[in-house]
Amino acid sequence: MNCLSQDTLKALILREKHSRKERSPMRLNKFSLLTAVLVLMVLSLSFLIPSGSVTEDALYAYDELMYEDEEENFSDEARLTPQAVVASAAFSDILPVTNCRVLDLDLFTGGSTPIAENFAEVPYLGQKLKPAEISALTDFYDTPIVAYRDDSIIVELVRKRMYESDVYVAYIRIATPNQIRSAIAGTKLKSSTSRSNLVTKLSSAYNGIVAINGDFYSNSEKSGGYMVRQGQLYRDKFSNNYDLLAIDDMGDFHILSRGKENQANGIKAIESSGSVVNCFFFGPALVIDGVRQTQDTFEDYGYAQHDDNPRAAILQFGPLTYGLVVVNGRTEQSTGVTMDELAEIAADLGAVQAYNLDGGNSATLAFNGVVFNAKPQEERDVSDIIYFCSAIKEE
Amino acid sequence: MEGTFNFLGLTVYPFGLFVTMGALVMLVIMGVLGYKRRLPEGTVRIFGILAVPLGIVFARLLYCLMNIPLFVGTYENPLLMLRFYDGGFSMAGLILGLVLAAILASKISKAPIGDLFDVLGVGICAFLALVYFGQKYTELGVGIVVEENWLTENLPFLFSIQRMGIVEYRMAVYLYQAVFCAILFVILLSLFLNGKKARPAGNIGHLFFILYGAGEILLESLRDDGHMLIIFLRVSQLAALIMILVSMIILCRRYIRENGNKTWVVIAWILFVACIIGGILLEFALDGRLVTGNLTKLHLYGLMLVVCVLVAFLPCSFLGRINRSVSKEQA
Repeated sequence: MNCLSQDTLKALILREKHSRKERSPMRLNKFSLLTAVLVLMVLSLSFLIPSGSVTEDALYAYDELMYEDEEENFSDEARLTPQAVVASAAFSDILPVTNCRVLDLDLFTGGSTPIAENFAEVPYLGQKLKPAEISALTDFYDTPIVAYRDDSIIVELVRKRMYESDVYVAYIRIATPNQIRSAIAGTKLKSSTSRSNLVTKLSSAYNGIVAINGDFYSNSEKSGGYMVRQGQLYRDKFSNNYDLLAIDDMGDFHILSRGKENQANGIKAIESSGSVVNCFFFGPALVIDGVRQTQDTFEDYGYAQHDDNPRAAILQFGPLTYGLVVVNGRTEQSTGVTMDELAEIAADLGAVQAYNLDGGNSATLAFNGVVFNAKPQEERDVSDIIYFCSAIKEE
Repeated sequence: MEGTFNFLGLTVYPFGLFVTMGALVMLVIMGVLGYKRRLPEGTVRIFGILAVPLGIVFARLLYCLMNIPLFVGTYENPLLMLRFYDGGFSMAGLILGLVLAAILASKISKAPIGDLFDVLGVGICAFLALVYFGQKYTELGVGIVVEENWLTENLPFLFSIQRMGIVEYRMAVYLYQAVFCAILFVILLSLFLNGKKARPAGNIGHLFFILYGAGEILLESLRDDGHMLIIFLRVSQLAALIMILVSMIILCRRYIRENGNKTWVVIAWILFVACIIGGILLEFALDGRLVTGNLTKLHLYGLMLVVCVLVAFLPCSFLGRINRSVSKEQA
């Protein structure tokens, strides 16, 4: 390698510096033009880049475009609304509706503060017991206990053992329809970004007495789907692939089977005599109008229906009388159930309407801010919940 | 949208303003450092002119690829993908666009690619710091919920406080990312300007990819805004891993060429793969898909931090030998 002397090096460097200074006018114009173009391009970014996610205004604009393009070909023939049937519930107390208020429908308003003294002690609530410990407890699977009651709500809890799995059931009777509510994580319903939070945290925040995870409404894999939360329409799109659960302003469940026309007519029928307060998009339907759905009806539905998995479902037994079911799974103690077995559980419990919700790790049943279906896995963050709250008049 | 205003009849977005400022700062820094590195004149300008469209195109392309169900399924209108001015960009795509712009600029201006990447590595940190901070004006960059504690009381600016029905304290991850990039900028700039130690061209660029990638894997794990998710893993985390992997491969080859210790190469790769597997298992555990026994989320994030530090250390371990060889040659 040739070594240059220091003097030669210095001379070379100086020459290079001078050559940079000597520029022809053409070259100057070229670089000035380049610089001007570059600066303009960069400045334009202020107008062109509103956010890393699609803005809320744009989403509303897309909705409007969608409504313009959609042809309303659905027939006017209304689907019959299901009749509310007084089924044999696990409890039959009649609530004295004297000390209640009508809760605001607003998505970000919760229920009345429950009366702390009215919570009964629920054995092993929130305790993550090992399989051997559960087996040793003779009173773990017990008869239902009235876990909470006041003038507006009664909640009973029970653990059962079915299909080699731990099945957690909450029976709820409420005095007013507004006490069955949904809540979301975060502060915006219509947004291209979502938030998540624990079922227990969301339930506590909104004074929920008992709560279950919802349909993970923000899951972008489920494109489409008619969704309403506390009277606010999130998405106006029916589905050929998924069943809907609509809850009307009387608190009644309407399960609308997959099929765009069927669902459109079903929503029309509900709205002809009332309004849709909440509508969930997950499924499949497990029991419709007292008829237990068989494997054939949800054969190609998805959600690993043939495998044993943790599951969650919401049930209606009669007017303002409901059930929440969560089955633990993926452990030796509790393997989980198939979709068909979940439908059987719902039917055995006496459900008139039953609808599958998001299962797997999301399946969580919370009571008084604590996980009732305590499982070895960490509680998972979810995007929404269904909860029941009190409506007693607050002083 | 909060903070927007009109200028000459056009809407100016706060986030867009931060992107603009970041881009200008990056180009100025690159211009100065490019002059120091004796890059051919006009290289940075050519890079800038290529970087703006390529950055937008790739950022938008990756966003659309990850959100095809939204455009094709929900809205049944794929043409909406062209409406980039409605928002929707991916940081990973943006970085890919900038890298491509650098490669093209080096070919056009005949600048050494290693030197250009070194200059880019420093400049891009300043750009990202401002862009992440700009996310304050969007719904992005917000993290998981934390309980009220000493920190939320005394240092509330570290959190995004949401008040609607319930009060939620969420980690302001955009702020942590901005600070991280600013620190990275200072580190890389001081290494760049440290003329005493000779380094092969491109090493600072590699350092950027390694350190930024490792930081992103951890910080993105703290986010909770549903942006660019593959089930529960973020696209940014995968892109960060790819960045580190590419640097690891290139540096490993150089290390072997410089007669590095082959035993260490094997160990480093085994550890690297183990870290990736560990990181994936930790993500599963954080999502509640694994039984974690008595480990809380704090423990899991602590383990994630260890994994990220190790993942950054392994490719950097090759740099020492490479730098020593260059010093010997130059001597």
